[in-house]
Amino acid sequence: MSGLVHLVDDQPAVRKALARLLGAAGFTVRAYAGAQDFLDALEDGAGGCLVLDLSMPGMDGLALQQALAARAPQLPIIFLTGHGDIDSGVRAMKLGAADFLTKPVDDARLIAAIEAALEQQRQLHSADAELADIRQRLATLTPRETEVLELLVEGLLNKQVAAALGTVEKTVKVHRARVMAKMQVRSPTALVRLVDRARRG
Amino acid sequence: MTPAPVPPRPHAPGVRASLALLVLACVLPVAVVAAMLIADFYHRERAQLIDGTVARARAIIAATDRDIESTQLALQILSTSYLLRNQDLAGFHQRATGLVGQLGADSIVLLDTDGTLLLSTRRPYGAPLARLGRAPLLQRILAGGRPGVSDLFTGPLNGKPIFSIGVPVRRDGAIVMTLNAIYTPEHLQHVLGEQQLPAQWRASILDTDGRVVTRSHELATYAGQQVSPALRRQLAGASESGLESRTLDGQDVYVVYSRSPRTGWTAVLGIPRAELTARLSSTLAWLVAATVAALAAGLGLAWLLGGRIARSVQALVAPARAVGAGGIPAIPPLHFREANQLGNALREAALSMQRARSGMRESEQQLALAANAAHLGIWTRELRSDTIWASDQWRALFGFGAHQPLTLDAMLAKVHPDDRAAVQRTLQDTLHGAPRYDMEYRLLPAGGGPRWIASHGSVEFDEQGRPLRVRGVSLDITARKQAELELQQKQKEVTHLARVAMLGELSGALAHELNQPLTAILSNAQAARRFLAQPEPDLPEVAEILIDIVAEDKRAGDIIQRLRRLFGKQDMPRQRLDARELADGVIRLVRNDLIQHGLSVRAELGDEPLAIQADPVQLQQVLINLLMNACDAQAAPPASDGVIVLRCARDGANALFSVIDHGAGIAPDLLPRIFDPFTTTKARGMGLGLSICRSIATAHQGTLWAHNNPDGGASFHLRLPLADAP
Repeated sequence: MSGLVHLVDDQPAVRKALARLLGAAGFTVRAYAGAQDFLDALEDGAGGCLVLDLSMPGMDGLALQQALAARAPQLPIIFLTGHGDIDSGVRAMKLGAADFLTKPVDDARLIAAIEAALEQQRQLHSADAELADIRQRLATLTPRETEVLELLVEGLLNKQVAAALGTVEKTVKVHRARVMAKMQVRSPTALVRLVDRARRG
Repeated sequence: MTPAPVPPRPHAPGVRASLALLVLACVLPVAVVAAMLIADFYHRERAQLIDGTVARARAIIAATDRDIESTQLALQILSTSYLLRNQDLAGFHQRATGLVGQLGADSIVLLDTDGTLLLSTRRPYGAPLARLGRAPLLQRILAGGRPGVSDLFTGPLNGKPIFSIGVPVRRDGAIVMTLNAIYTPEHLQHVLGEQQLPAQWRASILDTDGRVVTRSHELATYAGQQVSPALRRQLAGASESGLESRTLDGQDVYVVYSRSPRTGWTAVLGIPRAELTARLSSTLAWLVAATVAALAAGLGLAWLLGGRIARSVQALVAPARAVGAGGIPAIPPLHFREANQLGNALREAALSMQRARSGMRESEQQLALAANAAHLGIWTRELRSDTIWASDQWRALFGFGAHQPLTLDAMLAKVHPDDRAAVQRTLQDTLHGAPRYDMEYRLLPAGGGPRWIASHGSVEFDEQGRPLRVRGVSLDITARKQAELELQQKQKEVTHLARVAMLGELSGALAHELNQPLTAILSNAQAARRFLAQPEPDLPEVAEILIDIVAEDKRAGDIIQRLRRLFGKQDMPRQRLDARELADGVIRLVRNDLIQHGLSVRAELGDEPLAIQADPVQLQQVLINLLMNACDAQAAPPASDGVIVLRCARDGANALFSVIDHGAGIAPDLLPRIFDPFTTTKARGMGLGLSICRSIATAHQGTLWAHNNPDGGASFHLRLPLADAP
């Protein structure tokens, strides 16, 4: 069991103890004294998960979550709070927090939450890889081929595509064969599923 | 204060003397002016009279000249008589004798050129005649060939004083004889008579030699007498003049004369000097009489009026004394309106004094009533004689009998030993210029517990500013003191309750504060367990973890300790502490609450320690209150920066705490009364927080105030004296 955990807490003693615990649990821990420190150190496409103290001076946990929605949407966030503030918890969860735990936190619960988050992150990461592959294949199409593809996905016949594009059926057939080859599919049904997957993102 | 009596002027004049002076001042100048006018008039009149008299003298001498000339004319006609030419002297004698009566002459004589008397009408023709010799007139006629007149001389024939008027008798152009008419002085008397002179006047005609030719009075006696040489000398001067002189018969006169250029004779008029000055004298006499009469009347009136005025004034002396003595004087009827007005004014003054006295008596009675009702003891201490007078109420209050002598020491002996020195010092201060004092002290009466007394004294000074006496009131305030003590107790309770309520508001944040060490402890402990579960435990790491656990546990203990102190009902004793440390501790307590509100505190505590003498719990209560207020103010509308400043700085001999927010500020209508109890802007607040804060500040000899910042928000300042301040 391994994974990268970002830890943001303004209390040095708490930060030190949590880093120590997570380190003992086998995680790679990067600890930050405040939200801004973390944002400054954040790299694009960073992996792992974020353990975040809700109430901090300056930028608090919720503000950091909003900032991350733009910069690193895939980063799962586990909130820690000193008191069971239901309002804040609901808001954090609505914004996509992975979990919301109260201090003092039991190590088993914390570690379970981190592992769940990392697993989710991993899954998200593989789905992302498939989508990127499809998009890469789509990117190889010429503009004319893309036009043909879109009309085919709409369910039009070759004859109808030719009429729509003001060309002859024979030419459409050539384009169609080339699109099928580039997208690495054998049937139109598989092509439709691929394009649908790409569009859902 | 009564004004000093005006010392009487040493020689203040009486009314009568003043009025007499006034009369003199009015009458005398008028009299002097009148005298001057009279003298002037006299001189004019005298000059006029003298002028008129000169004219009369001139008329007299002119008449004399005319008389002589007419005689000469008659003689000249006679000298051309054929009888004379024919040497018929007898006939001529007869003719001349006939003419003597017509001319009014004594006689007519014919003289030879050598002075031989050829004929005289006084003698019959042919009678022997005296030889006269060459008389001066004969010589003048022979020399000048013109008629002339002689001076007075004694006639050779009759031995009387006579004068002669002569003309030359010519034959073939040469003077061969002179024809003369002889006159006695009486002849010319008619000239004087024609002038109708006043009877007292003296008139005379003098010849060239100053002899009396004729005279208005006693001619027989004085004819031919020569006037005094002095007068002669004066007459020799101007042809017309006037002068003071004396007549031959010894009268003092004013002499006026006129000399004839033809004959050299002089008409002299003597006006008796008495006549000249008579009118002046009589006028002056009238003037003097009138002046004296006016003075007499004026002085008499002044005497009368002065007497009345003096009597009127003196009549008011007794009533004035009566007013002073407090009576209502009877005002006698007086002679003057003003005196009557003064009398009425005195009477009114007496009435209003009487009213004032009765009013004073009444207010004295009321004061006594009030003093009795209020258990107010009144006393007076004469500093010069060091005697004390006190009302019965005061004696009862201090436990003195009605006739027991009062001394300062006896009074001080009754004062509680703890307060005695302070009372003595305050009383001493009145001897050294303190104008008043207020003090509270305890009495230890013979029976019963201590009584609290409030005493107010006010010092009276003499004109040199030296303290004269002290008046004052003393009041039993035991009940009030007890109420005050109870109130203080109540206030303490309220302050404590407010603190508990305040901490209740903070409890969430405090739980969080406690949560932090607990979190650290739990996580550390669990980490340690994991380390120990490893096949080769990292023991040094575990040891470090245990150190951290202990430290965090202590921190939690500290927080609990601090909270217990704040919740404790007992106030802590005043102690010396650093204002900055106090501020820092407060920030620790409220930090989490502020963070929860999305706010932060910026501590500006400076480098210099600021030692103050204070109850730390109460001061923390004040600062927490101010910070929480700032937090509420800043949280309501989301603040720009969300920073609250807690500043602690030196301000002269004081420490100055400032809590500065950038919220909405204090509403202007609320600003003057935010420190009043039950003033609040919070939905759930009691409105006691700031009022308690201010009373805590006051109890620390400090001040607490607030104002709005120019750039938004409000500032609260707490100023406390430094412990080492002089």
